[in-house]
Amino acid sequence: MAIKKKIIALGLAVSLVGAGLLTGCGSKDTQTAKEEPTEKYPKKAMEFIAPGGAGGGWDLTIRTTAKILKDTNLVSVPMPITNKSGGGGGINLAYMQTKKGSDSLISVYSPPLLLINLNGSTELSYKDTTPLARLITDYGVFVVPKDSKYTSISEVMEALKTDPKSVKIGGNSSAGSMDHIQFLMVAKAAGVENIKDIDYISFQDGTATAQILGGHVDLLSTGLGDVEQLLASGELKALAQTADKHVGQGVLAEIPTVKEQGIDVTFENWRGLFAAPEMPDHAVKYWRETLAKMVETKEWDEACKKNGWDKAYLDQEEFENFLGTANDQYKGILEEIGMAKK
Amino acid sequence: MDVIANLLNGFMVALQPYHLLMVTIGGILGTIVGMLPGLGPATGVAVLLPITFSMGPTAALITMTGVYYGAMFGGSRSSILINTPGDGAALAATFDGYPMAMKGKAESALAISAIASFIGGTIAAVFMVALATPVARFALKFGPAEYFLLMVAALSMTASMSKNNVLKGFISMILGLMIGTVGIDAQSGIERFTFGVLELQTGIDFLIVIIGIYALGEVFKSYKVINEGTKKAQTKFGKIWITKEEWKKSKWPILRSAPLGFIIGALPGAGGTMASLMAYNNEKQMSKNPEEFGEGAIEGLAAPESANNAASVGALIPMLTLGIPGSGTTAVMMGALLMLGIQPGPLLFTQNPDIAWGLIASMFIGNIILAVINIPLAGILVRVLSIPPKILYPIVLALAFVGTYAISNSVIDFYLLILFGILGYFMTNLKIPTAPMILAAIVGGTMEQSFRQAIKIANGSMNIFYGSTLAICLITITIISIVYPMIKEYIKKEKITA
Amino acid sequence: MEKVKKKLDFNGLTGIITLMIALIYGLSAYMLPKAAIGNPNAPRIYPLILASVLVMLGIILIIKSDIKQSIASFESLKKEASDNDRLNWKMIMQTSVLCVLYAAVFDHLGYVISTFVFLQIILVIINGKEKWKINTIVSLFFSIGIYIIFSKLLGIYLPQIPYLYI
Repeated sequence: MAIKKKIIALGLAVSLVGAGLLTGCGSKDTQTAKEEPTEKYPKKAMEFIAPGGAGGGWDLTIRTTAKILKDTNLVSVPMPITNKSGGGGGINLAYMQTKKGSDSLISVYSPPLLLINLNGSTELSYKDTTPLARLITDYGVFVVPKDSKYTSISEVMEALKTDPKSVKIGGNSSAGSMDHIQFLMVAKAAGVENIKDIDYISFQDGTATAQILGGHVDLLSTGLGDVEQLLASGELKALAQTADKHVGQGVLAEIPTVKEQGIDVTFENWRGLFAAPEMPDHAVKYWRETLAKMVETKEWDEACKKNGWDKAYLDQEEFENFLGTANDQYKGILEEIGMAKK
Repeated sequence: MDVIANLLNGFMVALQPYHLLMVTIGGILGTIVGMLPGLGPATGVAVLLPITFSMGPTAALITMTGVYYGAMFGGSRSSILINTPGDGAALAATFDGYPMAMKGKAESALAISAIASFIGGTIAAVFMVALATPVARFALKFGPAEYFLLMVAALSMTASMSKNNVLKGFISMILGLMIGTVGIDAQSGIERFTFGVLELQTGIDFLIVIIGIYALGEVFKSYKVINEGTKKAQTKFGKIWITKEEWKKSKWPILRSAPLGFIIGALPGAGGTMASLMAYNNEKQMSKNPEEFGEGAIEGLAAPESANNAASVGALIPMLTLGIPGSGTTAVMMGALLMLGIQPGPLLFTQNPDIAWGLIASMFIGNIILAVINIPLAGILVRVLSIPPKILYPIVLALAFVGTYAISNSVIDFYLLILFGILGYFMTNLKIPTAPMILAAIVGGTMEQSFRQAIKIANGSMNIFYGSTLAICLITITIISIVYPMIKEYIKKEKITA
Repeated sequence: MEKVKKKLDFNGLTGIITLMIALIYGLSAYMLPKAAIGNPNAPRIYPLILASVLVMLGIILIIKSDIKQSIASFESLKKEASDNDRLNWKMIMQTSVLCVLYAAVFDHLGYVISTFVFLQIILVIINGKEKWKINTIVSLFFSIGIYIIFSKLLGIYLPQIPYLYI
């Protein structure tokens, strides 16, 4: 009860401040705030956006988030989810700019948010959004067919050092994006020169897993959650994963990290929530606090376990610092292979 | 024996009254969603997913199967009645289904579509029980080189699609291949022909091309008949059933197309669109009267309908046995499974046998229920044709737009839609066939990417394209499919002169 | 321009148009940036092949056709064009322009309003002004009905009515 009172009090306070701030903007927000300045935020339905299609990682993350916020009564307004796919998330990023200052738009993003800006697909960057919080992390994993001659990631790196064309790397994202970058980061840290010459083969519609099973490529660079069953059944074997610790349970927990094999690097497929640029302060505050509470619930725990996500909550400030570091890291790789925008 | 016992257990699960009710409700809802243009099985499953949140995993999965099948059944309704396919797999149903409806045979068209879907789906479900694992293994043999050859085989169909004017057929095909090059090139990350438009980075969705050319093009074409007053609404409707003769004609095409659809469907990434187009073409080449195809030949509707439902079953194989979603729809289904806490993959059948076999059993039951509900439903739907054309065509136009928006949530695609509508109209007037362009737009992108994947893997050597038995088989099939019609034509001519 | 194309229903012009498309496409393919990784020319080889094949097809079509004859037939067709043909063309032009306008206002006016107006106008074009009653009923039911089905029942986003947000 005490907490609830606090929220109400806070809601009152922020909406008052918000009303004051917004007066004179002439936006619709001003009007609603003016009419009922004592009403707490959020009042009307939120607009939750997955920048990719139904069934993808972004879609799953934001749908799960919305469901838990609703189930735990942390948020009482409706949170309908829209899929705004295209341009690797760039379409939605452009759309968010048209909602500058809105207090009701929230979207989910992951490393491609930085990559599409670095490779020149879009002029917009994470700085054109309001980062709210990092929620979870997935990690990269490198797998080979069960009869592969490679037994560790270091062996692969040694082979690449002698001949960069000798190991064919497959992945589900296009060249210069996630699956490609995470492998190159490891290769670079392992001391492979000319990472530019490594053949990365991009497959569409998630078919890369079938290609590694059929032995058409030598190594698959993918997400840890995507191949769990195939590892458990022994169809594929994992050489290494990119976390700094063992994650998950069962077979996943047994996969050695890249670091353990003497290559000092990690790669995180983080996912976080981003609001429209210049989201009003009261709304930002509300969401930061709500999300901080959400990640403590047992529903969230269960969802993370079910989806194989690593809980990796970061509050706004830390998240922004993290984004800055990650951005520099990706930039370095893209520059090295000549795919950074000039 | 083990299989039969498991399957029986599965039937016990699926036949529980609650589950029966769920598959029926799912089927009806799926059919309705599938009928709306632009909403195929993938969107259908995605939007109806929330209704399963409160159910147990088995019930939820069975409901989803109902939705999936319902959307497959429903997809071809709008193809037949208003020439607007709901998704790619229903494209081939426009080729002969719409002409049939125009000739006053909409009842037979709707009936054969339901019957063929039912038979195709059931045959495929039998195959699935018997062959799931070997088929999954077989599908894995398809590397980039094999995919490339498969796409070439599909493309070689365009030769038969434009028999009367090969030159213009080729022009149409090249235009389609050009459409397929728009977007980010996955192998290099370079943007091609996007002209700075963000929406074009993911390429032009072939559904936009199809809806533009078929729905908008049809509206433009209709002005002529409307102005001349020659086109009247249908006022009398017969029973939704087929004649004995029609059944005789479509029996074999249905039976032949089911296994073909099943295999193509099981290949990750190929899917129902390819399966139905290949079945259509296959029947056209085998037919004694290929000139009737496209004019309302019932076997030209039966074959693709059977193939596309068989493909929808086949597509579940890589997802269930390997955890690889090979199409948009199965990706959504897999997402649904994951949300239910079930991890599809090689262990599914041993860890959750009741769920896996319950799902397979519900395919059989779902198929029967859908066939049963679709026949009376078609009796209502066919009344669409009683709407006067002067009102029906504006509605078709508006449906084309809302369908497009449902696909991409983007107005940019409206302009593309208009562009392709106008293009389609001019192509018809200039006597350039549009089918090769659409087929090329569907397979073109994968064809180029597969070729380059293969070359990269082989370090630049072309040997990879005839390096495996499978590759050689595919080459042989392609050659036969091109040469066979020529020989047939030649023999025909010889007979006439002799 | 559009009128000319339709009347010149002949291979000669088709060939010329094909050639133009091929050249424009080929030129933009040639100007594509080089790939940073792998073979620098890899992204453009295939488009260039497509463009050259289309150039060839266009030339063959031009050679095989008789331009003079097509011009002559064009003249005769123009004279023979019936009132109905002209009406067709007028309606197709009107529809296309209307569709573009629809696309332009779609996001701003929201689904219901823009679709209602769009259907009203298109029904006036096709069905006639006299039947305004049935036109209005159809437009109203369609725009609101579809909106409810998509947006409310299925949860598929369609632009909302501005300022009311329903």
